[in-house]
Parts: sequence; C-alpha cells; structure tokens
Amino acid sequence: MCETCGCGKPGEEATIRVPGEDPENHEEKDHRHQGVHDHSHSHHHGADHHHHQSGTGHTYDHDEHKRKTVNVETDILHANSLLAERNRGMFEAKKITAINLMSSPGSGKTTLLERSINELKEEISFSVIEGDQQTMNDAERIKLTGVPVVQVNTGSGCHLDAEMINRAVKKLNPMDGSVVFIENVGNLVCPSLFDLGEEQRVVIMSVTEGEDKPLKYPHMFRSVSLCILNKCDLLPYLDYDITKAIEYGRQINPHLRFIQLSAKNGEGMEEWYCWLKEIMV
Amino acid sequence: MHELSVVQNIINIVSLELERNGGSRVSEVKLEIGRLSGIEFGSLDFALKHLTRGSIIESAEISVEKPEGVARCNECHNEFKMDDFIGCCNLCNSVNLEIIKGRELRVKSITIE
Repeated sequence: MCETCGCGKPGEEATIRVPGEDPENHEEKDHRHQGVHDHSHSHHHGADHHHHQSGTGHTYDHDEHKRKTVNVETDILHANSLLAERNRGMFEAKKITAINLMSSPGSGKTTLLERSINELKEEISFSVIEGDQQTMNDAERIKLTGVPVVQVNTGSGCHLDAEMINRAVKKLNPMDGSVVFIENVGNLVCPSLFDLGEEQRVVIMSVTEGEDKPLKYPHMFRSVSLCILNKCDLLPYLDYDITKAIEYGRQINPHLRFIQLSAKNGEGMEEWYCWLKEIMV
Repeated sequence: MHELSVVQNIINIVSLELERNGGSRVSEVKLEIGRLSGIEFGSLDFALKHLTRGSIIESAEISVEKPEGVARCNECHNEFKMDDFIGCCNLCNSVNLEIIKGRELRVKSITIE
C-alpha cells in the first residue's frame, strides 16, 4: 500500500512487459503516481473542480463536537470510468478499434486470437494486450504470430482495469487504424464491471461449458454485444444444446449476437472476420 | 473478488474528501450499493472488515443502503421490481427491458470530525 496516502491495490501491483523483457529491470514495476492513482491531493479544489460525477459538495455542519456531514455522491468506480474515457478518446483519435475479450479460463481466447491474426494480418494491423494473473505464456504464443504484444500480470487481481490498459497501451504504442485485442483475465465475474475504454466487449463461451453460463453470469452477458461460441468442432461428441444456450443468452441480453465457430479447424471464422471488419468502419 | 477493488476505491474517495474538507477523522460512511450492481454483499462485508484496517475508515461506522432493482419495459413502458436479470415484463411479457434502478455503486456521504 502506498505510504503517501494509503492508496493502492490489494496485493501486488500489476506488471506490464513484452516477451523477453527482464522482469527485474522494467520501469513499470514502480508504484507510479498517475492515472487512477493521481496524487492530485495538493492541487486547488476550487469552484471549477470537476472530480465528481454528480457530487454537490454540499456540507452540513453539526455544531456539537464540530461534526460535519459531506454529501459525496461519487460513483465508486468513477476513477476507473474517467481513465477509461481517456483511453477511449485516445483510441478514437488514433482510429484504433479496441476489443475486450472475456471468458472463463480455457474457452480458447488465445487460440482464437492466434488464428485470427495469422489469417488477417496481411490486411489488418493488430496488436494484443494479454491479461493473466501470472506468466508470460499467452504473450509468448501471440509473439509467434509476429504482432506486437504486451503482457499484463495482475498478481492477485482478478480483472484488468483502465489504468493497466492505459499503461499497457503506452508501452504497446499501437499503429493508427489498427485493431487492439485486449484478452482479459479468464473470469466471467469481475471483468464485467470494469470499463477499459474499449469499443466492443465480446464474451467467448465454449461448447464444453454448460449452456446456462449466461444465466449464471448475467452481469457479463448483459455487458457484451457479441458472444462467440467456440469449439463447435466438438459438438458431435457433446450433449451441448446450442439453441438453449442462445435462448438463455437472449433472456439476459435480447440484443446479443452469436457467432458459432471453431478456432481449431477454422469453421465459422469467416463470420467473425466479417463482424470485425464491420465494426472497424 | 472485485469487492476488494471496490473497497480500495471507497478508501481513495473518502481520503480525498477528508483532505478537501479538513478534519481529523471520519466517523461515518454511507454507501449506496444496488442489488443489481454486481456486488456480492458477503464479499463486500468481508472486504470492508479486513481491508480497511489501518486506513482512514477503520473506525468509521459504515452503512450500506441497498436499493432494489427496478426495470422499465421498452415496449409498453411499464416499470416494475426486478431482483435479478432474468425476467420479462409483468404486463406484456417482453424481455426488452432496461434496468433503471438497482445498479447504484456510490459513496453517498461521509461524516468527519
């Protein structure tokens, strides 16, 4: 925890590095006072101060014991939302399409990215931000496709947040007009709550999971515009009912779009590529 | 366990308010956390108890208002109570609903001394 003001994240700070970088020697490991951790405490809080979304700043003085009640009315995730908007503005200015990919662990996110990048990299510039609690494994896999990648290790953290993306993008320095894939930490709960400044949120569900994932994790399925059903090549061997999965998804999010594919054998990938090119326009 | 991040954000917001308003201690913190906000109240209680040790809200009385969920039907504009995300309009059965209440996640007020 930061000794200056007591701020900080539970557990370790996130580390951000590219494959091959010495983990002991990168500047990102420092506790940086920027972004969400803005130590702006010493600046003037004048009448034009806009830190608060809807705060009135109104106070009530209690004469007894000099107590004072302050109406704060501040969104708890306000700091994340502010930084997410900064990320969004930067992506817009550089005409970058940022896509936040979320799922349970093991749904095939990295395999989907590897195939998509290998098949489209001649026509689209890609870069990737990989999020995991530990290891450089996914970044090493993406590196083999030849596109720029940074790995965010969240330590004990269970999701990526806007500050990590802000720092990762500075390190990645993606090209104008490119696509940035953000592979979130495998988790259907926490990432649903954190805006990263992305343009599109996508959930990946593999057919080896239960059809009722949307009902079990409604916050996630409400927060996305597209659901990719992966590993469809395994359908002949499973009892998975696709119609039921789509029905459950639309109970939670009536506008949810589904694409069925197999990142392993390539079946259905064309529809995903069409979606990708549509949102890039 | 995003409740840990939530509690850390609460501490940051309260620290800033204490600095802005002067005073030496925070005696009360009022939160508003809706039943459809995605917060698990058991985890939140745990995080509020254990993560606030040594922080400026360690000795504060923390109260949590938990507004019920309310949905509005986008077809017939009916408004009705909704405590989870699964359901349809109780008048026209449409599933095209908008959550208008219950997603609150805010620090409402603090009392400082």
